[in-house]
Amino acid sequence: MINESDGDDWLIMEEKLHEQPFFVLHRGRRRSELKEEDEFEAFEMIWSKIERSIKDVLKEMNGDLFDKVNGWIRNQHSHNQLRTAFVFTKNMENVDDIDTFANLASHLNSQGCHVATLFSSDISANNGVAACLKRLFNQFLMLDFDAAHISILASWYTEQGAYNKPVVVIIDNLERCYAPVLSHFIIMLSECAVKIPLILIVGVATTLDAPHRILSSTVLHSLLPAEFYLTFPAARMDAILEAVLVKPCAFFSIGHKVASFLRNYFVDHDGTLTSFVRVLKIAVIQHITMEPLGVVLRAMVDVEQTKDIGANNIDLLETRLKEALKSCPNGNDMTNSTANEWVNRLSELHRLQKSWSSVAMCLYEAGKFSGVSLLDLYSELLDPKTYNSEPNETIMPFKSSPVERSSHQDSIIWKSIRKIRDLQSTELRQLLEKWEQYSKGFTEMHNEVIELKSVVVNEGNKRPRREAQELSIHAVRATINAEKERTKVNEKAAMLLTRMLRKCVRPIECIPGNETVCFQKVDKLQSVKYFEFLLRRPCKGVLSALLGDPRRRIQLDLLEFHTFLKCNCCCKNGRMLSLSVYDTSVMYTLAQEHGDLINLHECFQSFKAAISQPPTKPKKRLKQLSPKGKTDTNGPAKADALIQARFCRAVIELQLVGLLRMPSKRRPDFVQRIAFGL
Amino acid sequence: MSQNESHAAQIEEEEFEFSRNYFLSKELGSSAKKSTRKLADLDLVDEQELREAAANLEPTHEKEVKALITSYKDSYAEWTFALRGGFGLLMYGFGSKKVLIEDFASSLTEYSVLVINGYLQSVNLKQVMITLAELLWDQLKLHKKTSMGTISKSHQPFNTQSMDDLLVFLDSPPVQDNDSVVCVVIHNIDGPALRDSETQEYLARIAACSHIRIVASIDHVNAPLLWDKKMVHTQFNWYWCHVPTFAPYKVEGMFHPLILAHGGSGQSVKTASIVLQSLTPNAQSVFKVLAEHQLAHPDEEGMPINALYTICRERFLVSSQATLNSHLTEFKDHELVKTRRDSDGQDCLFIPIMKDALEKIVQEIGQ
Repeated sequence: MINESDGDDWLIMEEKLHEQPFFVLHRGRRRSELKEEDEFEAFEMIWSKIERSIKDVLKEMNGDLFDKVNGWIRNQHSHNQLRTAFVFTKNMENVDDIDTFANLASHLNSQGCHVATLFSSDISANNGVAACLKRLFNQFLMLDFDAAHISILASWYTEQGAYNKPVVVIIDNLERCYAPVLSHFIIMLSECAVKIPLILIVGVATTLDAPHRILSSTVLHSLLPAEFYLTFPAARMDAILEAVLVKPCAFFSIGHKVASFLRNYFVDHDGTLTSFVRVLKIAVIQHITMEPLGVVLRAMVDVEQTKDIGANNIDLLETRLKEALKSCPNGNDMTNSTANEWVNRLSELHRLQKSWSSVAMCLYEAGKFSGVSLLDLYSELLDPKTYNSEPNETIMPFKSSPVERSSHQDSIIWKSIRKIRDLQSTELRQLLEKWEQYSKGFTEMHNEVIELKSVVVNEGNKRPRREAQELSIHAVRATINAEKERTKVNEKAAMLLTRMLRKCVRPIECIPGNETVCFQKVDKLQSVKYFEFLLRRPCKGVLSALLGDPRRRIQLDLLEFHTFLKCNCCCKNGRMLSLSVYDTSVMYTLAQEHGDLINLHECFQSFKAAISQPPTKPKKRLKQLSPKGKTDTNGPAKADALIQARFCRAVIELQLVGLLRMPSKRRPDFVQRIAFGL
Repeated sequence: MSQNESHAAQIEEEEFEFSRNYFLSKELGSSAKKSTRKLADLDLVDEQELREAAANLEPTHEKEVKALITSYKDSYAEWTFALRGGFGLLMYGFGSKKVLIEDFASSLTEYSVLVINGYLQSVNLKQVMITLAELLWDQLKLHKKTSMGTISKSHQPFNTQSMDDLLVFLDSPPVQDNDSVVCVVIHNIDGPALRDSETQEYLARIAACSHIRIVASIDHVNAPLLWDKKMVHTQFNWYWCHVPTFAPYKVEGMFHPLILAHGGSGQSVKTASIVLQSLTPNAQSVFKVLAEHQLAHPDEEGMPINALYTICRERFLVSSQATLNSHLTEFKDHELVKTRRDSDGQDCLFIPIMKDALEKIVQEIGQ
């Protein structure tokens, strides 16, 4: 471990170890009780709850499809063609679908199929069809064959004896497979399908015609295809968001900025649930490690889990919260009244969160009619600006007149509410049914919803039946009246929602005590360099933000080295060269002035000039900071050697980070500059 | 300014910057080509002296660098947390991160830690995996002693197992909690030894194993291109940590030639002649044969081994292929000779030294 007292030789590493390709640093010992143990347990509890919710949501979403596939496997038979299910994933990123296919495999397995999964990486030009067979046998027969023939599969199946068990082969991504190998493999399978009930399931990421583009007509002729469709990633995203963040599943929530990140990242760039989930996990980790009362979340989750037992929830919550608060750092110093105050705050937060989520979901249901996504709505609902801007009027976009607030025309909240006024009565009834569901446990709204619903139902019954309609003046009048009534009910529904919004929807950041459950420190995310880029430039290079963006960061490090080193010797503006400036930074700055080729001779001269220029301020610095050669009595030769060595070192370092390329044989006097722009 | 306007302005600015960079690279590039100033025109110091100076370069900002590295200690708890939570840590930012990462790794006392120096020229991944498996085995045994868990008493030695078998072992379901974990520290996962896609795929598979945690560093700005999304999100599961240290790349850069030493082309004359002088006269003569061939045929990729053998036999320098091979091994060990393939796919020997320098060496051998 680095200690301040280690002296100056801490940089010297053990001589031999750095020349060995690998070595054992130390062997693990029994874990001692870590002080972070509580925190980690809290994290595990919260995260496993979130993870489980996500899994459940996906399972439910995919369950339908899985059942359909299973039904199809059971119900149809073919004796001369290979039955093939093309599963359209509607998602170019197959990261998300790795799990989907794994779940499909285990589902089919549980339904009594033999299942083997091949990844597109198995079906490559390098590996050839032999590798596909090897993987297949490895999974079915649990044996490692190096040279094998597909006929082994048939004989293995016969040996199994269970002739009603279908044999399913899953390939996760058609487009990523090497087509000739895949075709060969499919032909082999189709030959085998004559003997055994073999079924192929292939994931397709792009368009409906992908199989026709990739597979030859001969191969297609040997298939008996069926098509299945997964839900869109955006729909899955909304479902996950609902389960995890809108209905607070582990009481963990995020602030507006973090939500905007997630939204922008998902919509504009990555588009995978996998990375969304990853970011969420990072947020939970950081929340728990940073927020002193983060462990309190655990108590809340604990209580939530025991609610079915019938205990008095609020009392239990209060007791557990008190215990949790005591176990926090400095918790023992907490006076009883402070603890009580906290408990009150948290219970209130808990209550507000519940009503918030009811109203948010009602709003989302209304927004669905105009194609609003929960992701957009969620980040808008969390925005404290809309709340803070008009303290008296609460949230402005909820005003009924669109003209008054033209700047809010784009507001998703407003759009959703406006849509309620235009709904047909059947749609309105559907909406109210959903509202009834979501407002359960939130009595105030629930009662009004039921009342409204009964009005709608009555109206529906009163309405003249279309088939009996006559073109009389009475009938027309009746229709007009019904229309008026409908608009009235619609208006009432819109007003109800607006009222509830004003009353209950306070962005979590505006509720006292929120920091315990709400992760909003984008700054912290920034400091792990996760999202900084995203914040500053919402639409460009976000991919590199999630990927850490070393290309930009490393160049910025070189330009702004002084902000990290905080040394007194270098000038404040890193772009200005001064005597003692960091050599590699000097070199990088010089390289910026060149095109893609840098003449070494010229570059060396500039480097030399830059590092040997007389200091602008006290002369002392020269002695203190310039390497010893300068003041050495050995004369200019040594000083030259030193400058040249420094130049060489700087070039090597830039080469190491990939900003310069070494001279080619053709142009021995030039190095090549690689990166242009940050 | 509204958000949209500022956004539009930002895009415009970015586009301008982009085009500026494009023209910078093109126009200045062509003007630079016109610049004919030679490296040789510089008044360069003697190579030996340069190497000495380079080896003894005093690190600048030593105190500040140390303070900076020490300041990252505050993040150790968070990193450990992320590691335990199933993430792989990826350290990036300018400066050598070797000291920092090893210091952090030594704080992970409950894990066994294996360090891979990816900046070296080659790393045998199979050996690494065998060692990992052994470390894990030891750890499982340790836990078996203290818990009721059972692991089979006898097992096939790891060095006879295939990579896939080893991966299966490393990915076996945890015996008890996540106690038995081996942490793999990879300095320069983007280094020369690990850069190829096959190795990266293996590393990703290792990283995804239940008993493995990874802490790695990258230095190259384009390192993320090594991985696809599956590797990044589901196998390595990176938790990016920006930790510039500004510490000199001492060991990482040790294989890079000094650009001002013979145009940066590897072996120095002095070291070559020192090595040659310590060899037997016969070995020196073999080297001379090779050198003369290279000087006479500057356009060829090198000298085929059998051609060298024929000439050496004719001159009674070697009596058998084995003797020649032992000389060649000696040369290769000192990097005096390298092999490469010519256009016919034949292995050829060549001396990685510039023409002028080689002439000088041949002269010296002759004396």
